[in-house]
Amino acid sequence: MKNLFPIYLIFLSITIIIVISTFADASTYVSFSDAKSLYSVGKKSPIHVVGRLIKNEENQVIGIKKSDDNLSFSFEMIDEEGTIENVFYGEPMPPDFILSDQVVVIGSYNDKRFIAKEILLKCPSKYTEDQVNI
Amino acid sequence: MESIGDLGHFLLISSFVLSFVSLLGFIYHESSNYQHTWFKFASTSFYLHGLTTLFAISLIYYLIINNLFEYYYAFQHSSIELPLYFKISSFWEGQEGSFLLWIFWNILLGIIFINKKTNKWNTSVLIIISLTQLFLTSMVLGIIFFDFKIGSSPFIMLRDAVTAPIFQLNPDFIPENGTGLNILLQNYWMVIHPPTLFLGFSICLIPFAYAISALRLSDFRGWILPTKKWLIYSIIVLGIGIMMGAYWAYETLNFGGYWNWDPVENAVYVPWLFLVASLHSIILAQKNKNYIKTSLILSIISFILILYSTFLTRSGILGDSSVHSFTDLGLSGQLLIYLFSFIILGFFYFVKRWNILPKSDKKIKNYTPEFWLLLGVFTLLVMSFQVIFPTSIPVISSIIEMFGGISNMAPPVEKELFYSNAQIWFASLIAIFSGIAQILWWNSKNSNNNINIFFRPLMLTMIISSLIIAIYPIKKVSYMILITSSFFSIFSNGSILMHFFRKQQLVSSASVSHIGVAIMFIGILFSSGYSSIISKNYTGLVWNNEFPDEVNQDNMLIFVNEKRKVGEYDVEYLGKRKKIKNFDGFVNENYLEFVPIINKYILKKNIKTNGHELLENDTVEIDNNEITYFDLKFELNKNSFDIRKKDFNLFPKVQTDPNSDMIVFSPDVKNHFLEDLYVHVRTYPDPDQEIIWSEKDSLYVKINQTFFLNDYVSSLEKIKAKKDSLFNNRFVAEAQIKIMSNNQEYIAKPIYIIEDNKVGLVPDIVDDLGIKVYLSEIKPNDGLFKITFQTTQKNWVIIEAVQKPFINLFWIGFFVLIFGLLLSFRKKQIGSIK
Repeated sequence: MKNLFPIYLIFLSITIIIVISTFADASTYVSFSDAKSLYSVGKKSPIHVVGRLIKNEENQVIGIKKSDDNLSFSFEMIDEEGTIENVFYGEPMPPDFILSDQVVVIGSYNDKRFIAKEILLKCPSKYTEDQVNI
Repeated sequence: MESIGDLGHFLLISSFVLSFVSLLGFIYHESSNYQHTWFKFASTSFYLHGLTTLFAISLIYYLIINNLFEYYYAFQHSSIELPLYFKISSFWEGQEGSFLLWIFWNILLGIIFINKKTNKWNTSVLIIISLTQLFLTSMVLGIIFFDFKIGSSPFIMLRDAVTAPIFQLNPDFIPENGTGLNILLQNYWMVIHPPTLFLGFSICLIPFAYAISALRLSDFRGWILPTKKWLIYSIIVLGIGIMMGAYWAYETLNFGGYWNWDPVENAVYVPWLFLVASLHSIILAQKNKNYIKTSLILSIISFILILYSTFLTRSGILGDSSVHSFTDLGLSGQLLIYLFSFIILGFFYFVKRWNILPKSDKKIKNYTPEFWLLLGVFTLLVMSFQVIFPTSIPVISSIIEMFGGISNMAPPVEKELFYSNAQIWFASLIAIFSGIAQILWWNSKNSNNNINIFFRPLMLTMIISSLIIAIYPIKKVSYMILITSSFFSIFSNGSILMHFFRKQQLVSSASVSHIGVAIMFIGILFSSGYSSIISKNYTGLVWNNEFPDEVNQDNMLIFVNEKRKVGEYDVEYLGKRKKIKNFDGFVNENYLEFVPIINKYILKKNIKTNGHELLENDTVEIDNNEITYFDLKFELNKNSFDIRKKDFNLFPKVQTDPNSDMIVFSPDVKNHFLEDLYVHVRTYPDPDQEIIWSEKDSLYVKINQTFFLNDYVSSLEKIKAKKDSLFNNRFVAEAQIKIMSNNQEYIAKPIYIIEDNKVGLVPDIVDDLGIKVYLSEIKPNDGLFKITFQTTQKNWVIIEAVQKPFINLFWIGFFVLIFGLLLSFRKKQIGSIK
């Protein structure tokens, strides 16, 4: 199949391009403090921050502030390094937000706070309910 | 009641053991030179394996349907109020149930192969099926073996599954209700989408089993035709399963579209592309032995990719990057073993047979139909790689970390753009190759006039696509290329169809399928590339300073009974609606008088739809009290001439979950032939928020007198006096006040009570209009009644309306694709081997 050699070469190079562009477009997981320093040096591309919501003894999420019309909200989140940060999300609260524990916010800082473009949660359908309400 | 759980657990263990026994049986059948006794032994064990599994499944249903919430699975996935069809689907909400669903389909496939004529192929396929069953049933075993948890049993008791303090006080505690099926999943698609998808998963096993059998038996000829047939089955079923999910997402889940490039979606998209690539490779192998090797590899990898996607979604590894992966049940190790066992199995036989794999001196010449077909296969593979590689970033990171490295790589942020911008080029290539290959394929015998046969399709393509590009207009280069290549595929495949049609010969199933795919491409291009938000805020008002600009600009706030312009429509919000059981249509929430029975109301007014009538004072049952519909009336602007659209109402809805404070908005879609209008409510006044009422205002009125309540024309229709039979000294008067607002009638029934010279007032609230009415005084001598009222802001909604042009082409194209694939089952089309 020697005559197909150029074709193989073309597809191989496309594959390599895909790998490189994936790495180029890949975002990163960072902590809030890293995100802040990235912002201060002028890098504004969105990054991922993994953390959890802050809950009280009754397992209720605290620190949520909804806007009057529920179209946006902000909440407190503690990242893996233990930094607590206020995160603003310009969309209505996702349906299963307060059920979740671990969240990933994708976004970046502006002058005041962390603005999330997207929030990822564990799918509630598959969320393991560990409490028994009586 | 624990005995059910023990029985179920025992059945699952038996099922596991029996799948092992049948595996051994089929292996002995093969090695004993196909002695019938061994086959009988093996197939009997397989049937018993099926019976025990079915029995276990029906036991889980027994737990769910009888609300036995002392069992974790019923508690976690079901609840008392769920209607039967959701109870049925709550079974596959959990991992254990969905594994059992997969096992169930595999059993049916096994039975099909047992009842086929006994030959070496079927026995070998049955060995692979039994092996798969051994792995799958181990996932639901739920036994601890030397500190290693094997599988997760659906039969564990609640008290063993969770450590709630209540069980220390009362070990026999049984919760009154389960946590229910997630409201996002309470949809009829939940009833049919997962079974179809898992049937697709099951069928993918068969091409894999044939490929492994070909290697095991060193027979590289006999597997080709059956594999081709089963590949087509798997492409159809898995394709339908995926599209059901897409339609579900589009129609109810409010993701905004049918495809989101979510890792879980990607994880089934890629195996599907691989199945398509395998099919085309097998078609090559039918002509040229060199491609048997490629076909074997692709058929094996397709199934391994299914296992890989199972691993991705169920191991919890996507936890940080996907919205709908399962949480880790501690089975990831076991899933990995499963995945690697099958990889090793394939690899082992490959290496073993490498030297005897068929080869041919016949080479594919450049620019022959086979050449273009091969390019198509390569494109499909690269296309899959472009999706699966970024999706696997979490896996790559874990591997790096396993070897002590540090990786903070995250998946690309702008998923839609990242994938779509690349996939559009591959799609264009596929469209072009499918057109060229088809034309050459059927003309290769008299292929001296290559220019001629391409002339007509090319001309048509150029004319049509340049017209569309110029008129629509399409300005993006990648879009131009996709539209042109899709039309090329349609016209060139179409010319093949015409050719056969004239000769009244067989229809080329491939041409039909390719046309379907090209139509889908066009549908995707327009509906995604040119979807436009028509609910632009032209009022100059800012809904809320706290909202980001995008929300203020792209959404429209509409007050009840008021009109706002949305695109070419005048939209009027008519208020909140409910659905009544066994009654067509929606009922104004205001006509439902509260009674203290769950889901029951008394009608305040006669209502009528489609000849069906319900009378005042009838007791009605609400279909689902947690769902509220928003009635939005769309009227075409007077100045736009358009025959396709009449006035219509849309009913986007909101569903709340009392257990969890979840709020889910679902869109409503108006399906026009040329475009869809997709409308959903972004927000509405929070029903739980405390209402601030104005100062009280009063007036005296007579029966049938017309007056104004907060500027609404109202009249006091009647006063009903009733003596309470229980309390002799109590006098009750109920007023019926009709309030008109823009042709809509509202009814308020405030109540006036006298008991032992004390007066009690029960006001009635017309929520939509923001009015609270009291009957505060009766002057029997003058025939005067004092009406007191308070007001607040009337109801409103903020909606987003999106037009999605030509989205019907996406669904139509898919049906054409499936129709084409089905055509291929007519005898001649499967073909022969050269």
